[in-house]
Amino acid sequence: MDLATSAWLALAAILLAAAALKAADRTGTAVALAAYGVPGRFALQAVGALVAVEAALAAGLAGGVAGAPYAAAGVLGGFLVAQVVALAQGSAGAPCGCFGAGGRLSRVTAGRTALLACACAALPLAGGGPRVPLVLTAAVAAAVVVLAAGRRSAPRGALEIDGEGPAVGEPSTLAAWFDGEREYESDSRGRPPRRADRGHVRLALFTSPGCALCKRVAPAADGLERVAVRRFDEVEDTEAWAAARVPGAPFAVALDGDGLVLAKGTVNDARQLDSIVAAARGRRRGTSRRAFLGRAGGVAATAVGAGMVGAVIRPGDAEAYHFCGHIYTTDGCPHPTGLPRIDRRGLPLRARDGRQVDDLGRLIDRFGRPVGEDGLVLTDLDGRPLPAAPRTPVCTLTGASTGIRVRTDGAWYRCCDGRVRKLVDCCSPNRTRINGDRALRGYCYDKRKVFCVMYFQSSVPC
Amino acid sequence: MLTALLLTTALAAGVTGAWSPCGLSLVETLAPDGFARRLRTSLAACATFAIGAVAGGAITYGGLALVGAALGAAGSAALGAAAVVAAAAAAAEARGLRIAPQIRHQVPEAWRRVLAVPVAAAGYGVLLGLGFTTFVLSFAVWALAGASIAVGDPATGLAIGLAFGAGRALPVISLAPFAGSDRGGAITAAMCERPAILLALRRIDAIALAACAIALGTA
Repeated sequence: MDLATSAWLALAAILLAAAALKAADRTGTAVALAAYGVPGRFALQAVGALVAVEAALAAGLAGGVAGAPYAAAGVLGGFLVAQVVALAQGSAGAPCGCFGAGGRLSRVTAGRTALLACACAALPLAGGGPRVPLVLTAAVAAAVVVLAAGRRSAPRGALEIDGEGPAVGEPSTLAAWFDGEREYESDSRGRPPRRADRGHVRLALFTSPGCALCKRVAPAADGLERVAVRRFDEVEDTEAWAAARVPGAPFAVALDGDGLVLAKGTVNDARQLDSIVAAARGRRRGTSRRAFLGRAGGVAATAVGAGMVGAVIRPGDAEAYHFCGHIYTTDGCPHPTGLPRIDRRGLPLRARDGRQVDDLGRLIDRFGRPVGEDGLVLTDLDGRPLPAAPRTPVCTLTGASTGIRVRTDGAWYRCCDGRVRKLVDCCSPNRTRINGDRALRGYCYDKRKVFCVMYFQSSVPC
Repeated sequence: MLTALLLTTALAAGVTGAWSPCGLSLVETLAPDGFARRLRTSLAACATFAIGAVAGGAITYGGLALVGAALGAAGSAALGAAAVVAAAAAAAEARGLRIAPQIRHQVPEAWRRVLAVPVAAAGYGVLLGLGFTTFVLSFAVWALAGASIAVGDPATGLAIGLAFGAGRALPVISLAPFAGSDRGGAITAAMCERPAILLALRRIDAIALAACAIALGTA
């Protein structure tokens, strides 16, 4: 492959990447177009047109079409003019919209666009393009764009669901963990919470052992400015978890100095954590931004330039992003040891090590006898083995304890914490989930819906 | 000889792919007591899944071979590079290393709910057959891409794709109709719980890749 062919293919790849990233984040790109004066009602159509044009140019360049470099140079020249005008109007720092919604508009981005335009215009001088059939390059470009468009990107806001976590606007007992002496106690990881003053937001971050997302979110919480952070571990801070009615980890609750809940939600990354703090500060100032966003029906809204994002996301969107499935948005089935880990027959296993437990949560041996951590049979004071307890499938036990008809239906495998995990739904004809929220169909068959969820951990790496 | 080795590698790599989250999900999805709900639907879905998988494989590896042909590959330099890649992949497979680069995407779960199961199965088959749209379970998938370009022969690329697609389809359509039975459940559970099975398959991939590397290097 000679240098000229490489240059044609490289520029084609850049244009195709731009098209794919725009297609993958259409909402973000549409918002970015506001900086260029595109009216909101036309923004999504404009994004579609941009994606189509860039993908077509990429296909043309990769196919060695003679006019493609000039067309690409012309289009990029148009982008350059738009960027320069936007910069002159003071839009520096707004989302660029160049490669999706990620970058910010600046002189550097304008310079990059100019460079790409010049490179395209100069391509024919370097030599002829690749002789790949145009039908093939067009098919590849179309496939890339379609796959990118089908990819559901991470919501920018935290997931807030009524009934999960403490009620917004109400005082919460969580404040007690921040107040008085307790404020200075070490958290479950041995680190003291940072002291809050009345002007600071207090952030309760709920984490769980073995939760990979928590490991990503926790450092981001520690880096928040003017926020007093207190971490609550699912195993060691069960009291706080119960008090806050936390559906799963990672979950954040923002409080004001008086213990009033300002914002809450399931969070997956630093951006979503920021959205909780931003929403809390906005509410404390008496702004109506969150209320507006709530009324907007969960549309992922982005505030141009400021980097602050909306906080209300549809459950479906969040489920798509929650990589380990919906266990973070739908309650797990009641399980004798907490997290709803099951074996392939639906019987309970202890989450942290996969050891068998009975309905009372005691470790058992292969004969069903209760044993200690060391594997020795537990005995009473007279040295007699403790009686065995039943071991019931978790879904069945849930049905028995709640008095509703349940059955284990479908499942889906996902990659969680580097291992393939099977997510299993405990389904019922009920219209509500175990936590009272509206039930979703999930993986259930026929007309059943998800009541609660369980998981089976495999040993397959991913 | 080279073609036969590439086809064997493709078939083995496809079979290894059954251990992906998507492959395991599809066994249960196409099962008669899964989303298919009936044996007849399950069998129809298995058929469309297999067709989709071989079509997807043909698109990927046939397309890559077309690209190789258009770029004028098939020279000793390209074959040598492909041999190096295959050898490196063989070593990584033998060691059972974590796949990198990994494609952390899955087939859309919603298809099985909103489409007729045989139609959804065809789509799932295409996506799995394409090889690079979902989790990759063997370095051979990457090495075969390089080999397809380097060989630059569309007919060989097409054959590699068909073998890969057949490999991807085989475990799913073999297990799905029986997934609800005790034996089927036990096999699926063994796939999940016994890492030695996957490791053994990866060693087979490694042997096939090593043979390919030698054949490519001496072609």
